[in-house]
Amino acid sequence: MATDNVAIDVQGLTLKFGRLTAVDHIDAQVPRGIIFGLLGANGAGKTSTIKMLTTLLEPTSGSARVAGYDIAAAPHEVRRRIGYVPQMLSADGALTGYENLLLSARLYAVPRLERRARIEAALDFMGLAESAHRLVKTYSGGMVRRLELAQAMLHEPAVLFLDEPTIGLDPVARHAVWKHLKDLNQEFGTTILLTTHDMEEADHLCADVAILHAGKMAIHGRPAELKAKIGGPATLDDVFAQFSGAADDAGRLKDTADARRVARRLG
Amino acid sequence: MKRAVRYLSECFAIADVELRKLIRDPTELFSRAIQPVLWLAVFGQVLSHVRGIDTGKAGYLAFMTPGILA
Repeated sequence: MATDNVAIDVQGLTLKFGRLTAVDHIDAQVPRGIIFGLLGANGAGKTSTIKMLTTLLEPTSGSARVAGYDIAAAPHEVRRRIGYVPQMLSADGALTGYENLLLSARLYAVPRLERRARIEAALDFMGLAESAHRLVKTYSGGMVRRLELAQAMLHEPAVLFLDEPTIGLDPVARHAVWKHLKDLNQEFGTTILLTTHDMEEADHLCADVAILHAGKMAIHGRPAELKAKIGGPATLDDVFAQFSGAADDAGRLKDTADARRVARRLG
Repeated sequence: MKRAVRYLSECFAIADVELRKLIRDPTELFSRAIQPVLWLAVFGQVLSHVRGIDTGKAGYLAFMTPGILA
């Protein structure tokens, strides 16, 4: 694969906190223009990986290139070309939606003459035009998430990093976020890397997924391939259970499948 | 030079945001001031008497004041 077609190229990326190895020699290539899902149970190393790729944490060893630049050698170049939406809601509730975007536009040095038009376009794109001048603390969780996506796309990043973008959202808000992510990916060709432990989300959005388990890459491929690997009428949940350490033996795998069936029956 | 201009404009953007918040809700000015005063006047006094933390030659108040004002 030619380097210009790879948005994220990770080689032997490792992060240690003292004696704990949070991320253990990960290798991955994310082609440009796709939505890539990084899956894993809590504590598998998803957020640590994102923090290294967004230059917020320095890797202990290994390297990665994001949007063509090395995260260790040229962190400023990387930052200019990426957008990042952290897991915790991060928009400022005491400001209006418009003001939040104005702050981002200034920090990302969007030219003064273009600011207004770009902010309005981003608000429109995320369906927030009517709420632009309301304080963000009056927004619903889903609206705040969409505002953060608007903030992250304002400087037209090549790669967008999203850490559990739909956690804590109701189903309607979740589907709205999915739709906007798909639109963003298709309309602007933005490469998106998102972490999730929601298999429905991964199946719905991601062209490629990787499952992390205890800091190591357990498996990597297209959702359909992974399901085929398990065999039978497998869902991505089964793949996840198999490779994320959630099922240490077949019995427990069956248990989770049963539990899910019951949950589905109960609605 | 370019970097300095950028730095200043970033500082200005943050200052502008904070000013907007204070103008919108002036009581913030008061509530934001309370915490450091509380730390210095109440916790600072108590903890400096207890001598729970070894701060070397400097007293505990001298040790904590710069951090609280920052």
